[in-house]
Amino acid sequence: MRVTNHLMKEQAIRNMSGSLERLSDLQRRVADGKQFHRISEDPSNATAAISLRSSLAAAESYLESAYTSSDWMDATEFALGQTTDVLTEAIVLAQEGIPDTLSSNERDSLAIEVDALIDASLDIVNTQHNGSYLFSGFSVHTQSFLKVDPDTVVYQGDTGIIEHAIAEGQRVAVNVDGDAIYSPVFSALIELRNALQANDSSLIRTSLSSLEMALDGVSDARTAQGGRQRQMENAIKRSENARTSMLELLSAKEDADMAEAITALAEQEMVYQSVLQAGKRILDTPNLFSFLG
Amino acid sequence: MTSLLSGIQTALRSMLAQQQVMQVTEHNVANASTEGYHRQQAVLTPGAPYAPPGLNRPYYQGQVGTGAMVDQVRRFSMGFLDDRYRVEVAESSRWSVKQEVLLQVEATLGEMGSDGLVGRMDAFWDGWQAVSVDPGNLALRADLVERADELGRALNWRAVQLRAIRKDQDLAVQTRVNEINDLATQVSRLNVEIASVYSVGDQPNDLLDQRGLLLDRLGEVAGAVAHVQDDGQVIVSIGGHALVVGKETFQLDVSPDPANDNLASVSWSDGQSFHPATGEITGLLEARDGEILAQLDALDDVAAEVITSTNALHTAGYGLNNAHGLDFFTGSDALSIRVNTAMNTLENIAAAGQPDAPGDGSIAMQLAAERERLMMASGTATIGDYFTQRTAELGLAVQTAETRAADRELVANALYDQRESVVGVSLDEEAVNLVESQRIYEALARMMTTLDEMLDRVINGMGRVGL
Repeated sequence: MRVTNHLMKEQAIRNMSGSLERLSDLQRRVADGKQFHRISEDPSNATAAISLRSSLAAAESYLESAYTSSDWMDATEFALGQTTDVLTEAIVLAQEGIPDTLSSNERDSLAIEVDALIDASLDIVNTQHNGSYLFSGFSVHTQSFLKVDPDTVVYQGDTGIIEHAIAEGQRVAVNVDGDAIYSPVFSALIELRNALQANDSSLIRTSLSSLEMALDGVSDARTAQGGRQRQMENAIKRSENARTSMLELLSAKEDADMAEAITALAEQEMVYQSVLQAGKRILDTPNLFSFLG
Repeated sequence: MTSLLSGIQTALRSMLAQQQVMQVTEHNVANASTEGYHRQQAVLTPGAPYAPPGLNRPYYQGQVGTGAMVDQVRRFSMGFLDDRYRVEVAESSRWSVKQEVLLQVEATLGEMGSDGLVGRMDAFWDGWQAVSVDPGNLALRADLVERADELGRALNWRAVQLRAIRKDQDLAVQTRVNEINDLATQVSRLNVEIASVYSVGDQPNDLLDQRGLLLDRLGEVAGAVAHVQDDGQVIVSIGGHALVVGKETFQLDVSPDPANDNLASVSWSDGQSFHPATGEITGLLEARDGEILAQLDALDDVAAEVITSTNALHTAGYGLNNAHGLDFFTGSDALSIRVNTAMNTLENIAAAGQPDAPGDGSIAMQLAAERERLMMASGTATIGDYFTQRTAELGLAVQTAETRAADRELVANALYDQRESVVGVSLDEEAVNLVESQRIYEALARMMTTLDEMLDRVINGMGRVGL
């Protein structure tokens, strides 16, 4: 093929710019460790990465919720546990109050202790978690129970069951029915106190069975709550595992193989240098005119 | 017998011819890097011979030559390479223009970055999810409104930018149309000049170079095809419609198309529609009315779906202050989507499914679950899937344009090289030609001197025997 000076120059420029372009691509890859920077560089992997990142965002958002829900359930469980302690204490007091040998004064002082337990239960049931009352159903901004007078404690919440989504399509009820669990507790405690004040051992005996029923109610609620907590913990564990594997997958899709990228970069640098050297020689190539006197 | 004087004339004629050879060489060297220049060559031919008259003419051997003369100045060219080169350049420019435009679109959508639209939508739904587990928390509601605002702004911004890019391409189309009209006029003028030079038997070499350059550019812009006629004029056509015939040109007109956002619609001045098959203008039109429009439509679809689905659930819910029936978003498409200003009163956000239920986040939960609902593409894709799919389509379009542009450029480069190899100027060759002409010129000068000496002998030396 006939070669002209212009042709050689054009080809040298083409080679240099092509080589420089490859060098710049590789440099970018090494600089930020990403396999591609535009979707068009690798549409299938890039869109897979976008979808993965979206799923990851969803999983993380569900996890956030699950942690919040879990805290709520832990707080509920803690309150129920405390209530169990209170009721157990009340049962002990009731048993102490049954023997006929007790004077009315002694029973009065027991009644005062029971009154303290009623107030303690009120404190427990009106616990707030992050500014919300745990046992008021949907009415989380309303105190659950209010002591109207020494003989009446009324439920002010509703029967709403709060559900949280903790994974795609998976919902868990996080609250318990405060009315159903605590109304028997308060009535049993008030019954015991009144019986102690009335100094009537048979009434105390009756109140003892009310107390035991209330305790059963609390225990049942705790068992159910425990089941849901386990369900929640499993869901959290699954989500965490899924998140880890999605992160790995994402990295596999979009992260550059650094060893390979750096090697390729070093190689390309050498290629570029050679191209430049060749280019210089082409530009320096003399022609016949240089040698004609 | 020939005369000594005619020998001097022969030498003179040949020396002038060699001078012309050197002039052509000089022209070649001067234009060694001129774009579009085709190397020229002075073709020497022996002067017309004659039989010297003489008494013994019938038996006299041979004819006498009259030296060398320049028959023609030849221009090296390969017409079929020109045609093939133009076709490849047209395709390569079509795809590379398209690639440049689509890269802008891709960068505007910025789906790979941290604020891609899919990410914004995820953030929006995450906001609802957070509200659903703690609906009474005003900070979370404020965060949700911020995220919704971001989503709205992301859609607005993209819609505005894509429209701007479309407008830019439209301006580029109009510039190209003006260029085509201008080039056509220049070609028609050259046609006239070239034909008149040919008609007197000359070679319009440099005019042909000029016209070749214009035709190269016409091919690049609009895939124009040229046919050379016997008289040296070219007929140029684009997409089957004549652009230049001899000295006549058919111009292109631009008018706003009300059915297409008042963007330019290109047609021939005789009213026929303009259908370029390739070239830059094709790439621009394809991007303007194809991919960019598709992405704008996708944005509008996504925005419309987000607005209607969010509002449908939201109007059914109750706010912390029992506000009911309020729209969450206003607007109807990507350009007009806004968060309803009523949502700045955070209590208005309806997270609850019933009144007086600050702890109920069921509506918020359903809204968060919208991310998984197959609401797009007639119930086959989630919003995220749908938009990712559109993004993938754009990515593939860019990749296709990139590959085609590169492939065609390779072919075009090879053809360019091949063409250059025939028509380009080689300085070495020219140096050789120059030296050769110089030596011949010197030899002719010597011849003339010799003849002069002979004449001197005849005139001044003859008949002086013994002096």
